Amino acid sequence: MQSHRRAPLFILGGGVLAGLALIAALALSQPRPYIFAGVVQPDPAPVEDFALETAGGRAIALSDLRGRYGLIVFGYTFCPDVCPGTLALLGRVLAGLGSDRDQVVVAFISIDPERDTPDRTATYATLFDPAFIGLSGTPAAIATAASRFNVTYARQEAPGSAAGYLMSHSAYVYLVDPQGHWRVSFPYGVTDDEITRDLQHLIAEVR
Amino acid sequence: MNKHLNFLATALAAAALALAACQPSMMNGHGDMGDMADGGGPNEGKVAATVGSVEIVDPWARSAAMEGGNSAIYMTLRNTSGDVDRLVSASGEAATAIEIHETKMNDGVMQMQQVEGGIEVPANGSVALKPGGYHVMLIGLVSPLKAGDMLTVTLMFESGNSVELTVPVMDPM
Ligand SMILES: [Cu+2]
Repeated sequence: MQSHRRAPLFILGGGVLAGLALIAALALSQPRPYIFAGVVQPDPAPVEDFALETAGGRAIALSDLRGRYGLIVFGYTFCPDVCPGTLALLGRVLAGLGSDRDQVVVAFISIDPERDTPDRTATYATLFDPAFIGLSGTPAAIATAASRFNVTYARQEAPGSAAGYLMSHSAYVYLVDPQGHWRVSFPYGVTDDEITRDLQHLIAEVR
Repeated sequence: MNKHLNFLATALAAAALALAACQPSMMNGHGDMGDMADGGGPNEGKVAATVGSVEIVDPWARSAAMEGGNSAIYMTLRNTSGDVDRLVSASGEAATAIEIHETKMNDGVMQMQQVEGGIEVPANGSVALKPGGYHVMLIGLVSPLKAGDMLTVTLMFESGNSVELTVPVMDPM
């Protein structure tokens, strides 16, 4: 008699356990939203095209980078501290991507055309990684490029310094996807591993 | 039964959320845009030289491959006395000009300027010269700097003391 009374309880208990296991499996298999290290653009929109010049005065437009992820950074070759640090970091980002590095192109845009000719900017960029594209151009062309990412920059006179003048500028790295949409901005301080991980996430998403 | 399952589902969802929350955060990268530590506590790092009561800890220069380019020297200055001192100037043969500069970040905008009056080394305290902050700026390098090279720079302090320092060139990590 006792065992008869227990049997349904047993079955019920087993059913609850099975259900629990099923729910647990479902709950754990739910994809967790990926959290980007960079600042995600709320409404990724195509970046209006712009053109600058690289070595030998060769024109390169933003649209020429289509088909690959673009990491775009503004700076100047005279900068001894933040700009070379960021370019070295982006070199490590490419290295960290391994065979996926071909899907990413790094463009360094000078905001100091007075000192940075297209040749000088291109040479400087390739010293960090031979694949980097260095770009400069007329003040108007640079202003147009900067405006696409809301980059601000300004010349500051430095009368007591051998520098003569210095440039202040936005120190973000902008990520544009293969369709030319601005997706993420990385503030100064984000690590190479974090940028690599964000890129790997985006690359895996479309695979 | 349904009620129980709902309850269980909620509990499990909460557990799953708690699990997710335990994942290492991917936000808030720290301020080492690929660069060295900033000197740390009172007894960390290697004292490369002592000048007056100021210890110079872990100096390094950023590698710079550009012909005639610029670079920066970083270090921690540690004051073992109760008197404030200042790094007021620097000189050397490695570059056309050597100056004391500071990079500041305001709302994502990087700005660099020459430091008026030098860098204060607080009494019984320390100050870090590090990427994105204070640096000894090398303007117009006589020759490119590559990792493993050594350069010499003389640092002058407000106390009247000065020191000729040998600085290793490194690729920032
Ligand atoms: Cu400087």
